[in-house]
Amino acid sequence: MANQDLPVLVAETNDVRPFARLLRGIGLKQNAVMEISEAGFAVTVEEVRTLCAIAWIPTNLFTSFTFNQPSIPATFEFSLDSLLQCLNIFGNAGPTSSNMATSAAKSKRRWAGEGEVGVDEENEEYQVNARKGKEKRTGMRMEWRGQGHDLNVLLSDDSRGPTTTCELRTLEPEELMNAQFDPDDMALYVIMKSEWLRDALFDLPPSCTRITLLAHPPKEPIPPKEPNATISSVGRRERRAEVGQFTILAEGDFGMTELDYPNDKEVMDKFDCAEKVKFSYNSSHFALLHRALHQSLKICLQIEKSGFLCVQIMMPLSENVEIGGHSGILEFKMHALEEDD
Amino acid sequence: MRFRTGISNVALLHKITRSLAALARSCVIRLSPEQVHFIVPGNESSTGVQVWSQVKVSTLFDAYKIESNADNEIWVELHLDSLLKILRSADSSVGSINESRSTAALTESDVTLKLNKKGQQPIWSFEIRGYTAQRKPMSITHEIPVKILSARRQAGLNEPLCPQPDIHVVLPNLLELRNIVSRLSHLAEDVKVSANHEGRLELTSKASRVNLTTTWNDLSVPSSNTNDDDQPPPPPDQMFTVTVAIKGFLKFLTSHLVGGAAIACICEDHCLIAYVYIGELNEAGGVLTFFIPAKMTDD
Repeated sequence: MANQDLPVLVAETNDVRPFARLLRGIGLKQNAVMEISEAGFAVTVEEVRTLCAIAWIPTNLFTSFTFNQPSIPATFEFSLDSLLQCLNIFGNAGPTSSNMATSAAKSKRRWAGEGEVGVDEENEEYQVNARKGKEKRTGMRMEWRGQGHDLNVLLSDDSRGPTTTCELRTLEPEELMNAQFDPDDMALYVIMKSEWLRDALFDLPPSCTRITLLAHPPKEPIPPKEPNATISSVGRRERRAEVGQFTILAEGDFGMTELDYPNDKEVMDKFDCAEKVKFSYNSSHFALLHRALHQSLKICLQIEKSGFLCVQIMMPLSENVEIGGHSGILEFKMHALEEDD
Repeated sequence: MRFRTGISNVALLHKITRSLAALARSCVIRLSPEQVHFIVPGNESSTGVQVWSQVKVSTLFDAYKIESNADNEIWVELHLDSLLKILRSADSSVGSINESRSTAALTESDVTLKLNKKGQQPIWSFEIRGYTAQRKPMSITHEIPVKILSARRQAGLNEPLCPQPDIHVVLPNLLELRNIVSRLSHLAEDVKVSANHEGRLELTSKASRVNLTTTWNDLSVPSSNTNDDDQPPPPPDQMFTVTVAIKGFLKFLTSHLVGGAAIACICEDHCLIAYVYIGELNEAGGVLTFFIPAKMTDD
């Protein structure tokens, strides 16, 4: 049994950016539930019980990670928004400018960890100035003494600079749905570069309300020729029917966008699909992936036969990762919409 | 009543005006033969922050001529917005801070300021003279209406009376401070500013979801030179504290533009006074003084 005097958790790092990046990827709500284990943190956010986002944060993101298993599970609810604000107190763990611009343009939604005050002329200037200086890093020491205690986070800029202590309130966690994905009941399994999906999400019409994911297995009969198709387009269709393809469809007010991902080596790392799959998802939920994809490496998209979707987003590996380990994974799970036709 | 001057440091005047414009819509400028005072009285700004500053004439102006039958002083009140617009135009013409000079900017330009009258309306007239890119001489004149303050209004403007400050402390870099305080503003309304004689400065914000304390150590603490009372000095680790609205504190921090060193004085439960020096401390080109009223809290 763990010693009662020892804190449940002490985690230290000299650069909070990877940690903050993972948390920001799921920052779609004010509060989140954190679960601490030997393996690291699992931070879960659920939106109206339809969307579940989890950040798996491994211990290798920290220079030291000490966990003393208490008698009850080390789980609590906390303000994700406040934690992100705290991590960025010295301005070293904020969203990058390009990210800010695109996400602000795409939606008016306020993300956890992002200020709600408009960026005025003066602000812009000081942000630029702040970035001009040499790259600074924020170090962190996080400590949690156990249930009923605050989550203490000590942040320091550099050895001479100021230090900030944050005491985050912890609450009894709300019950989570966290439906489990069943890999034995899988209808589609795709691994590809994050970029492909990120670019696709950019191109989706803002007015669309549902996004349809479609997959054709390889070696399908060639679809009937369309009367006015060009020769190259016919050839492409034949080739794709041969190897199989993954398609994202979105219908907006001004037309339909269709993005095809053929099962080519350059596009797909893996494409497992036994029979045709077609499911639709709420586009506002699907669009939440966009932010999580930022700075990520690969995605793994899985669909259950029931239509339950699970997207795992892998972050770039840090230097000291063991083989088979990871530097953080974001997981989004959502159910398919009812087919309306 | 005559007033005419060349503006030798347009960039600095621009920065001072920008700092003041963050606080209030209009400001009072008291011109005297030696000093220029920029005044934002408390009722002008929404946060109750006041500015009483004095800048040496030679820091901003040259060929300065002032005459009036009230000790050669002139008090004017003007809209900071209109002044800012002119200075922005003049500053880019003089081209000192903006690297991206537009092709329309003038070269070798100088700026003069005159007090004029247009009918019954007193105006400040700014004349910018220079050369275009094609080496043609060019002159641009801007005019803004100003209000000349009567002796009665002048007498009604008084610097706030404050008790002897409990502690002075040299603030860390204002830009750095501003970055941190602006992040606190997303989390809380008020910030508790504390300091002790060991050179420790703490900013504490309490919110429902998180408590945040940012600490600086080893800041210099100038000894107050008015040690005439016989009270023993307080223990060096005793913290002196004042709580102010983050909004007001941030407005003062806009003065990071002016770019000088700053000293904060804490008058416990009364106010926070911040002196922002123009130029180096020893040059004493001038000082902007910000009075930030304390907020009373329950704890």
